[in-house]
Amino acid sequence: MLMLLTAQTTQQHGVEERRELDELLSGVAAGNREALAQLYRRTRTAVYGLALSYVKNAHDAQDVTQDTFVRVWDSAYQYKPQGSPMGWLLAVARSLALMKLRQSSRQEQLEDEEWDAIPADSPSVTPEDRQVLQQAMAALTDEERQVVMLHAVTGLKHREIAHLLEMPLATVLSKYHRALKKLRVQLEGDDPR
Amino acid sequence: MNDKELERRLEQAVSHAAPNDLEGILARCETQKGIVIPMTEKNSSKQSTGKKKWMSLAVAACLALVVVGGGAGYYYQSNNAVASVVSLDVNPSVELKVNKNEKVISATPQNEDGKVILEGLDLKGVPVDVAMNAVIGSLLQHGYVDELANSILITVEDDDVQRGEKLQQELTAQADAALASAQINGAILSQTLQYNEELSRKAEEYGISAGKAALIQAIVEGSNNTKTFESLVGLTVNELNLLYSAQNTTGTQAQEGSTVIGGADGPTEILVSNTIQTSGTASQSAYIGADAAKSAALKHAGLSPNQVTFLKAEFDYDDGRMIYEVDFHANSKKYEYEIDASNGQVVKYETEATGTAPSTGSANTSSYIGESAAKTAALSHAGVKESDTTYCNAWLEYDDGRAECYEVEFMVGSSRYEYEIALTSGSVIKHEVKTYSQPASGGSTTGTQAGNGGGTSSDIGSEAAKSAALKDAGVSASSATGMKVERDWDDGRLEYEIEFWVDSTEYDYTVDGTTGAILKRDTERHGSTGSSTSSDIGGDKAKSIALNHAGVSESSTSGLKVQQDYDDGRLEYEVEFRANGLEYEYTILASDGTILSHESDRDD
Repeated sequence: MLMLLTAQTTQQHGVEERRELDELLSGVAAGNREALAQLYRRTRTAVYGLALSYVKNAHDAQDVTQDTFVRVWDSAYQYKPQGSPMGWLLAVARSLALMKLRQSSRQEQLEDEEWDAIPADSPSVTPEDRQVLQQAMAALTDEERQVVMLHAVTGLKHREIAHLLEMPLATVLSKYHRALKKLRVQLEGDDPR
Repeated sequence: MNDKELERRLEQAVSHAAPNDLEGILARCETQKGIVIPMTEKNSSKQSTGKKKWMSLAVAACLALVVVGGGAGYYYQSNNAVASVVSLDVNPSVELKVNKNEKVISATPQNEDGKVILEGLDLKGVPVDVAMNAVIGSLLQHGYVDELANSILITVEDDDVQRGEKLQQELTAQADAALASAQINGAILSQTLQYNEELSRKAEEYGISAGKAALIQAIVEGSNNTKTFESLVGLTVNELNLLYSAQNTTGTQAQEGSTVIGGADGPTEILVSNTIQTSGTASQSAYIGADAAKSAALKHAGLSPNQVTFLKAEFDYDDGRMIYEVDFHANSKKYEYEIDASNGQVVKYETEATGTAPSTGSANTSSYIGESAAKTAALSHAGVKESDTTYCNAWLEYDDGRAECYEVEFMVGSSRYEYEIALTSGSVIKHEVKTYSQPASGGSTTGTQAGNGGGTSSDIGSEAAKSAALKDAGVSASSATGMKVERDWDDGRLEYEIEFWVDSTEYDYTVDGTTGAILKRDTERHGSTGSSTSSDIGGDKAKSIALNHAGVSESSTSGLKVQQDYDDGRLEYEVEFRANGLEYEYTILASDGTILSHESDRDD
């Protein structure tokens, strides 16, 4: 009974959240700058998390995050409210992140890019934050990192992640579990050997 | 740290690191809102130089497409008949369609990782062995095959088995050589399949290759269906190889000849010659290793290697994680451990005394309630009228020559009820309800009356099943005592469960009801002398022995349950409770309070 109640609450929460994001996107489409500001405050972590999981360095991830919200400002009128607002937003971010990657590969980036994952001068980033992000960048494969970031940071369900990343659900699940396992080993200092 | 905490830490770290430059965004929006061309054309500060480069990349991609397209067209006209389909699974899955000249007609990624592997490889028209070399090169280059995960599954689907097997050998040799030259100790699983609709359907449903589906199916069947297809589908080929190898080195279920995939209505699909060949050893480098698992279990038990016998550790997959099952004997006890293969933690453990043997004695049958009263007790407990049942039977159950309890069985709809009723008090000792999908042929569940009609036409009958078990045990019918035969449906398969004793050894068999094949065997040697069951310490004493052993007080437990039970002809107490987030189960000998087995498991 309690579980049922929790499930319902979570579902209601999800519905509510979607409705609010829908409203914000409508506001953005109508040129409301305050709506964009609110959308940014609520979703910047998710967008940055996705961007970071693709481009693997703080500088490019910041660029992608900014570009995403500018792109949303320009193209929100294309969004249809019956879809998933978060899914749409992240799809925009993903395509910009992929574009950034293509540019980077042609610029032949240095190998140690993953160590630039976190802004060096950010006061809000604790040593623990730095450690977990560095491990996520260094120990995981690209897809493992994308799946785990999307689940942890954006709140997308595995099914939605599968849709966004165009992967079978089983692959998403397997990568998700593998990624968490690897991260845990790295963070808890358990050498598997 | 559990998954949720880990995710929370990651979320927190990202939120701390996320930029907060709304002003920068608003500044860009102001100038760009309403402009039709993409904003990346205009901006200055955050603008990268990439657009032109990206455009030229796109042009290059189009050119490549044209070239590939032209090439494919040529081959399509000249030599497009598919003779064999070769699939390669690691975690990336790749499928190569091959013509009769062993040239590649098409190469298709079967998953996202597969796309990465095939990127930039134009394999059309290339001899399949060369293509195999290239794909393995790409797998190595992208880090999908390494010391941590070194298994590759090669599957050839070909209706011409001979041709398929020849190709299988060639490709395995090729892959072996490619791995050797990269100085990787690879482990290759290979198989030849004929097209199988059931398997293809499953493969499609889960988005995996038919080859991987066949490997999973083999493991499911090798586990006597204790594992499900679904639970294994997310594992990598290396993990599957570890499980497959564990099953086959211990011989729990030999994988030989053809694998039969059947539903409740009997075998419907047969995979011809689905013998999976293995070479090399699947890497356990990502795990702690069998020796470390043994040490972890011994350490937990407070024993040294020279104090134990029959020490063994094998891979298994349980509750979503890879584990080592570690078994050993010490101090007349059998220890069973499950050790997390990644971190060496004890997931579960169980000990069982193997010392005391059943004693024989004369029973005072006059005090027994009788079969009819036992039946009434069971039906009333289930809240069912006898007229509602399609089959209802009660009999005295003997164990090692002694009356143990009344066994009552009945069917209501597709549910089968099994009861054990106490001989004199008529109380319910144990009950079980099994609901299963109805077999195609009606009325096949007839309890112990096996072979007397109602079964499927291919039912070998209880006598043949009994003979198969005795033959396997190398025991004559006259030397076996306490023979019990039960006919059962398990996962749509007809089975006979056979139990008997020879001296102090108990034999447990599961025999396939259609083929007579031995599906499972278990022998347990019990000690030589038994203790009398005349004395009884009582339920309260049994409870305090268990609580004392667990080191908890009764007030700190919940769900405390004490149950009297007869097993192996002796009176026992089963004590169950929860405390400190663990679930405890004890079996205590009623005559002298010996702890026969105890188990503690996380209370999920």
